[in-house]
Amino acid sequence: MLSIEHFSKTYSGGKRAVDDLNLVVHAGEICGFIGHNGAGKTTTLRAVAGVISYTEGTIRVDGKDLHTNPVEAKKVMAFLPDNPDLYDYMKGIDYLNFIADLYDIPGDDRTRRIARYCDDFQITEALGSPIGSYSHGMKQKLALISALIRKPKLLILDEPFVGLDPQASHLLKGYLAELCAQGGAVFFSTHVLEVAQKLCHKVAIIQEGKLIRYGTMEEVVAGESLEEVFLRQTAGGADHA
Amino acid sequence: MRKFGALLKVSFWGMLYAMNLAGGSRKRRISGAGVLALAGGLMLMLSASYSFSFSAALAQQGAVDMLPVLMSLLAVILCAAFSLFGAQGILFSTRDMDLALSWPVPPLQLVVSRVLALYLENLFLLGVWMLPVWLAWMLQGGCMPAAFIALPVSVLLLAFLPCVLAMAVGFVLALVSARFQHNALLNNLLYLLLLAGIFAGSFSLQSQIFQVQSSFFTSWLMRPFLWFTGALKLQDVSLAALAAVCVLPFLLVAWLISRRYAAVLTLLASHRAHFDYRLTRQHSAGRMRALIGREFRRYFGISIYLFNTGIGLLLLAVGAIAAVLQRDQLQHLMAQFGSEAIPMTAALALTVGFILAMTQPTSCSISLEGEQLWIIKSAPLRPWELFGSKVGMQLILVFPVLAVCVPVMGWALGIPAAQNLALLAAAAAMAFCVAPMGLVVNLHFPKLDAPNPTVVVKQSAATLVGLLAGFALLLPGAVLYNLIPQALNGCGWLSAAAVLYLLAGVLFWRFLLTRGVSMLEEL
Repeated sequence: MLSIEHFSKTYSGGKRAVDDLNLVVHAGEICGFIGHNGAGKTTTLRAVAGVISYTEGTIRVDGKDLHTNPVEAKKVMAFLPDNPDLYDYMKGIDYLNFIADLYDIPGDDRTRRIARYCDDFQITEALGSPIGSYSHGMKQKLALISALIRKPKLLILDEPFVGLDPQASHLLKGYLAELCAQGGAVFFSTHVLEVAQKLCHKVAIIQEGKLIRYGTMEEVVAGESLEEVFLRQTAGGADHA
Repeated sequence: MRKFGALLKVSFWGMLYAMNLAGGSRKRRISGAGVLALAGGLMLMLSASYSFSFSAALAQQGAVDMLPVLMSLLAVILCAAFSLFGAQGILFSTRDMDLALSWPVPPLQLVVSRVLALYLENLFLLGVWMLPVWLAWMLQGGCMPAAFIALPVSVLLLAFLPCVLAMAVGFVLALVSARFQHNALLNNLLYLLLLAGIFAGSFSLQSQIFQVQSSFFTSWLMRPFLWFTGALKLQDVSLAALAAVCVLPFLLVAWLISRRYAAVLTLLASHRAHFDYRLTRQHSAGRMRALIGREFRRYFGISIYLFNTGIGLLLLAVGAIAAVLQRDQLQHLMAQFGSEAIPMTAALALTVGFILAMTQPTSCSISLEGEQLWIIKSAPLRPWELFGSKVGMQLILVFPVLAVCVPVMGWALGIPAAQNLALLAAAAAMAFCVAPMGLVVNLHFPKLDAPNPTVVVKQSAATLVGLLAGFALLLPGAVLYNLIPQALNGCGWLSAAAVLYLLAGVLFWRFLLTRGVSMLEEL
């Protein structure tokens, strides 16, 4: 579903944020992406989502090259940044309809999906209010719902559990599992290693822009906890991040 | 005082950063300095042309001392109008509210430190404005060259006045709008009311401005400007009075605001979502309609965006109504001047051209995406859809106003039908050219990290460069008018201009779809 080959990203100031990254996430897999602050996680996720440009490497989503066929690649994925800024001047329902229009979701389907996810996350009754009047958690839920209603084949999430209440976190985990069961894939970054260990089929550890460990969860942890593996693998790296 | 000093320092650097004068790359700082120089240059040019023409007229009436009075009054009105939107963005921004209100500093210090940016902006504009005034005044014998030493102190004091007005109005607007759910709509209505008041005041002032013996100039409203003039003439009493009338109201308004500051900010930032929505069947609208709808929501949802880029259209509509209502007087006036139809056509074309140059929502449309740009960049959109929605919004806004107002004004001014039609075609073509041009300018001068929309709409390089580029578009029209004023019964130069603008519009659009795509990706 997602294939990243020799991806590198150097910012205009000369900082090499990601260096020769190779990674594959198959349909039905959840891949956790972990690393210190500044390790290159967000840069990678944003590049996969088509939010930042890149010149080195190849990123394919569902077989479509993000460089040569960006529109088709973006049609099958949904991206949620770590701190999603939404249009404060729109009402919640208008924002969901806006996203549904961009992804050509028919009226009946969008009504059913909006009803399901908004009811589950308990924000249906606030959909008539401007997003500017929402709390941080409500905005986070709305952004998440706007990603889920697209029924994406690939879901890219940057720190999705930050800011969510325990009930919403639980729901999200269920939705991620459901998406994978239906043949989708999830690629997400997190600092909550316990969640990553429980949820992910695969894990990728990045340090200073380089992938230092990647494989199935069983291969990577090999009977230890992910936290122990992560701390050992990245020992001394945090100072440079 | 150390805390206050630290607050002032933060506020000062924040202002420099917002204006691209500090931080970031060298290119960014150069563009910031360029914008400042352009704004200063425009202000200098405007002031010089008014000062020298007024000073000659006033000298003939033996009232040359009225020059600094009139010009300082004009400057304060201009600065207050500029600061009005800024006050809300700077003083009542809730972005860093939690942080600021948690600091162990009195609210008065917080308010005064935040207004510093507004004060410095006014100080710069007033300083630049008053230089030609002083020069013209001195050349007409109004003051001695030594009076120049009084200029900096007097301007330092006068710069408080527009801040007082902007702070007071901004506070009232914040107080009122914070209490209503549809505060964007309310804000727009309040601003509309305020602008109507400013226009009415300006017209009333215009009728009195050359009647220098009028009692208006000795009224209490004019005292600060009379004292300002006295201070420039090195009169100590006037300087003391000016200091009192400028600084004391400033401190008083700042103190009044500080008493309710936390409450107003809390009210503005409070989450007032209503939990009464019932989901019904939703309908799909199509991608382009959704994108254009989003542009319109943003346009009408951000008051400063609406008024800064829409005021020209408002003026055109008001002008058309006034022209219809006063058609007989207008035609009588033109008969007195003995003017032919063509110069009137040229005058109307120039007016409409200026208004179209001012009406450029696209020139800050990409910058206003700000932190929300990720939504559009991660969506499966073709470049023409995104750029097209922005251009489309501007054209949907402009075309109906042009289609109604230009023929109506032409009819009221007695312009022949054929010329009127050619004028409409030229105006529509220029509108078609200005819309993509605004996007091209914005792609070259993006500002995605502004703390609030006010900074984007009022202070960004794209807005100013877009405006100047719009004015520059009038030059080919003027050249054509001079070359072929009579061709095709006076329609030739308008038709040629229309073709030229259409071609330029196509070129701008082509640029967007080629180089513009990669420029957008780089943002």
